[in-house]
Amino acid sequence: MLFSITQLARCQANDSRSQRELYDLFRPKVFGLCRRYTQSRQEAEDVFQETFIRIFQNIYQVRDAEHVEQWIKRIAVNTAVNYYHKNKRHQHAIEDNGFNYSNDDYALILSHFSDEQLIGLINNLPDGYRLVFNLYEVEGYSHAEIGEILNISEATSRSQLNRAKQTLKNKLKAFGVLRYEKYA
Amino acid sequence: MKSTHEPFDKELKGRLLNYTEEPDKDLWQGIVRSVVSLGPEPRWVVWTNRLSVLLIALSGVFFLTVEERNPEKEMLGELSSSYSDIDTIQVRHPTGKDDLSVSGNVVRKQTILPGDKPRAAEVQPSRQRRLGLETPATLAVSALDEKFSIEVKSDLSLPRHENVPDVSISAATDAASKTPTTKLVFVKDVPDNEDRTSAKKETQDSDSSEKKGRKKSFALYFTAMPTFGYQRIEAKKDDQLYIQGIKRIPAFSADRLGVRLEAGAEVPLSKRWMVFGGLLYFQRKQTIDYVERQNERMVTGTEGEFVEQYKYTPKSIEYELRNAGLQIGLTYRLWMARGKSITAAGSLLPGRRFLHVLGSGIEFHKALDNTRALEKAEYFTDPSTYVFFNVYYRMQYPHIGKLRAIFQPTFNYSFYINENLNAPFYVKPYGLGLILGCTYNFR
Repeated sequence: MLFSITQLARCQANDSRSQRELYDLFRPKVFGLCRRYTQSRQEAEDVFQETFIRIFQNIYQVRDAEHVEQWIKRIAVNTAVNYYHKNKRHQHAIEDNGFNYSNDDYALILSHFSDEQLIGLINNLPDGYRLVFNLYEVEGYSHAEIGEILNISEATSRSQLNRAKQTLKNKLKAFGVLRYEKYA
Repeated sequence: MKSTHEPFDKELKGRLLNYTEEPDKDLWQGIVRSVVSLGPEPRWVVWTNRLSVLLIALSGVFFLTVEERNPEKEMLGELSSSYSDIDTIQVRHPTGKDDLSVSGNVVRKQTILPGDKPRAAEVQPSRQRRLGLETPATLAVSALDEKFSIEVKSDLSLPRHENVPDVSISAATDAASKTPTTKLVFVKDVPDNEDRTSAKKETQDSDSSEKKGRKKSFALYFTAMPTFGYQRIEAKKDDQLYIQGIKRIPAFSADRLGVRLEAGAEVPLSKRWMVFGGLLYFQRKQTIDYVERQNERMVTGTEGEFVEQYKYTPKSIEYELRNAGLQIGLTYRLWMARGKSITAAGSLLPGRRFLHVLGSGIEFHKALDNTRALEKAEYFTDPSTYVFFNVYYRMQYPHIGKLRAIFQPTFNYSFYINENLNAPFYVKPYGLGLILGCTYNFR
């Protein structure tokens, strides 16, 4: 996604038209990210709005137009994490059933799911699991970084990731997926 | 950073990373409402702003065009129309009736200045009639020293006395020049049934009595004025709240607009000084939009740096003042066109027909009903009495007459406003006001 230097400058000057252009350019991506980090569409909308409010209030910090997307993504992730902290729910971890599966035919497994269904599976993970899963598997944060962000230890992060995956496996199974490789 | 090598995870990551979804369309409006200075204003605000600017522009054009309509070539007309400022004019006709000159030395016209070159001017028919001139005449006007002279080159005979409603002429002989001298006396408010020949004497008598009378007389006035208020707002530094920004309101905005009505009496103390006092009603709606920032926590950024995260909360304070009050003050008339007695300020200010006044006063306001905070009511305490001190410059058109247009920039200082605003910022007790309106004097 290209956002020009001129557009950035205008955004920083509070030009409403450029702000709308930025919004139109990044809104699907940002909302997709928000959907991954939240349990419901309603929560995603809250995070989405808060994200863009922060974006427009802090866009003056951006110096390079090439990094706008990365900066926006970081804002969105931080906003989602903040939302998690503000709305911590006491959820019980879902016990896995102890089955292990192979992922030899992963393409087949995922092919059974549309993107929306996949997001639905992620949404149904407990909040903590979902965050660690997204931060580690999708965003690429390390366990140490996740520990800092979520105020948990590295070990907890690892544990939550494993449980997230195990839970995901069970859900996949519930949707009729036969095999899912044990993930260490 | 870690990287996964499992094919399933790569596939999963790829699909989740590139997942996009369209949000609801109305979310943008929510963002616009929340972000300071973002997005277009509501239409009614935009149009109100435009109308305000148009009003200001039209007022400016009005004042300027009125000034343009009074060129100096209408000197005689000026003199006669503003005759109340003229004491006497002597008309000399040394070479006979075909070459008539008019001179005088007690004229309060601002435009006749020392060093001015002679100017020719046509006498308008209406002015001729007013002066008793029967045929078109050409006047040459010069101003030397404090005196001026008007030469009338015409075939006319001396101005007649009979048909001149408010100008009377008396003849006398100038002992030094041995030339017959006619003295024109512009008489204000001389009854038609009075003897015109005695008008001069009466006028001379009335001059002194009028001066005395002015001090004793008073006039009632009623003034209606839309006002624009300008205040300085600063965040408080002694609380734990951080104001990220306060929305800037355009100079001519409905958010600044108020209405002010005044009624009272003014009593002249001298020709320049006047004291006034009366009642006033003031109504103004004000909106203050601001964003509050609170530190939430520290998180680690993508490159391992610590990033401080803030919570931004857009807030808005909207309230309406409806005050009734008393005012008392003093005004000083800047412009008094009497030869060199034109003040420096007056000579710089536009318009011979404008009245330029400096004023100062104290106002005591009392809220008629509760100061209404439409939102965030917790920011306001009970209303009380407001006390304002103000200094203003007022330009009125015309300078005489009952109905006058007003242009009045005002500096206000408020003594108690902070006590009523329990907000995380100060509204500075001083501010500017711009008043455009009209006043009607009941004399």
